[in-house]
Amino acid sequence: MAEAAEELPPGTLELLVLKVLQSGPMHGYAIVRTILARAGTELRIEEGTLYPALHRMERRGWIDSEWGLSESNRKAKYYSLTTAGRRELRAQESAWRRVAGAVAQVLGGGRAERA
Amino acid sequence: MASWLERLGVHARPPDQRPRAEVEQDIEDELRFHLEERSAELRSGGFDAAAAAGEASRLFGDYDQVRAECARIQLGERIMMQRFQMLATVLLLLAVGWLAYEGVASRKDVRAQAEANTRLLATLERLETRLSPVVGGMPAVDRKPAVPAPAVDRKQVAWTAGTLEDAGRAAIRGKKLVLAVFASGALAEPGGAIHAVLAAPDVRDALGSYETVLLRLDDPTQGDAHRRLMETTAGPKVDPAFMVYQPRTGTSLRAVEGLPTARMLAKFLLADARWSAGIVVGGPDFGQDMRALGYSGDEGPAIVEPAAPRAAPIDRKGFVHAGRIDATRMHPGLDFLDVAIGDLPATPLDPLDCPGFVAAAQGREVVLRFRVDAAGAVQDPEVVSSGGGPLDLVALECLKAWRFSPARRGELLVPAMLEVRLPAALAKSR
Repeated sequence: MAEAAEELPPGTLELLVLKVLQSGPMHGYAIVRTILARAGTELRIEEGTLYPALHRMERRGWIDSEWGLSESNRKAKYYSLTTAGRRELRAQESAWRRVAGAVAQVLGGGRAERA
Repeated sequence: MASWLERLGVHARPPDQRPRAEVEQDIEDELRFHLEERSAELRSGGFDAAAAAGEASRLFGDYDQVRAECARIQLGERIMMQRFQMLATVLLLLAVGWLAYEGVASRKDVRAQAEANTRLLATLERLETRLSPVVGGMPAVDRKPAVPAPAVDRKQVAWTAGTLEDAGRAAIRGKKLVLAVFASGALAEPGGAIHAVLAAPDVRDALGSYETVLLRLDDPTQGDAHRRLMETTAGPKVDPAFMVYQPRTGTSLRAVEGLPTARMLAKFLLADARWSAGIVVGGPDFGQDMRALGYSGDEGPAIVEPAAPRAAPIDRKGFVHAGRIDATRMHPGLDFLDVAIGDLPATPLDPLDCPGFVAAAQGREVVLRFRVDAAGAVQDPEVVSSGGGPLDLVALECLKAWRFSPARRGELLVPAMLEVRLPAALAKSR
């Protein structure tokens, strides 16, 4: 039986959005699709939660937004990373890797325990 | 993690100052777009229309809650201050009522009671006056702290007419402030042609010694700054907007809002002692403003008067706007196809680079044609002129790594066709 998809851990949605926008401007729907495509069936996101996160990140100065035409020729709001956003991405990515590494070490038994 | 300030609704960027209904409509449009795109995808996967809409809604979650949360974030401090204002008003009215009651109860004379009420009402009005600019509706310039009286020797400040190209000339080199005039607001949008001009090595070197460069934008139909200016400026005549560019930090460019006239801008900037030895490069009307303010004028032998704005011919090979900015000069080897007047072409975000091509070209040329979509991605690349199969492949491989800012039509990002000639377009080949 397939395992149920996991909810995103708190605080990680912003990191994922920053990472996805690193490859260029996108509208909200494309951001959700990219995250889900990269995560496969492992993650579950309530899609609407993306938008408050985007608006909050914009007010923090991490991303900019502007209206453009979508692939389907419809008016859509495109988001792009700012310099502050790139800095934040680097900081969050490095913090995430440190925490994930530490957790993996504990779950794997840890060097101290093995010694 | 939200800071305590964010929990109060205070963020790094100010809240959206547009009318609340307009902000909410934007949010509604954005969320609807998401639901409709998701629905369309589900329909193409075999769902019928009703089932697709239902599933899209389920995947989205609580629509009303998301919409309200977005509005709260966008409007932020405005909502908080409105609540505070309401609370303050209620408290003051209660105080008025209480004093009135006290006055009657203690049988004080009518005049004393009236004076107390007048004082309280005056306090209430002062509070309203202080809160209104924070809540919104007042021009931004009124929110700035008062500029101290100028300690400027006006003879040190010169204005003259010209363009950014003139800013690179020896006559104004080494000064602290340059104010340049351009034909169109759209040209100064991030990624626009003025950015390309500013990034060109000769202009960048010339501007490197300036603390601030102000770009004055004369086309009232272009740019967000103009739209906001139009909202706050009465009458059909809309004065130009201004953009600030700081050469030392590279790309920071923002609108100076709420400065409805050139005269106010000059006063605001030149009253600041840091800019007292600046040179202002402006158009003839700006010169009049400067004269009216008492600054000495200097046309300068090397500086030319900008031509009056007129319709420019459409040039399929290049980007022509009011005869001044030609993006092809900034991007040799790059042709912008089907560009109309007022459009901003798609332009490279970084200097184009392809080391493999330079090594293998041996005098041969490759021309690629492609579309830059509204997200800035390269689509449908084709070889228009071949330099041989392997060399074409090297060029196409490099094209995948290049990043472009999408073209613009007014405030919309639009797809655009480009042709790039290698090696002419490559930075390292020049």
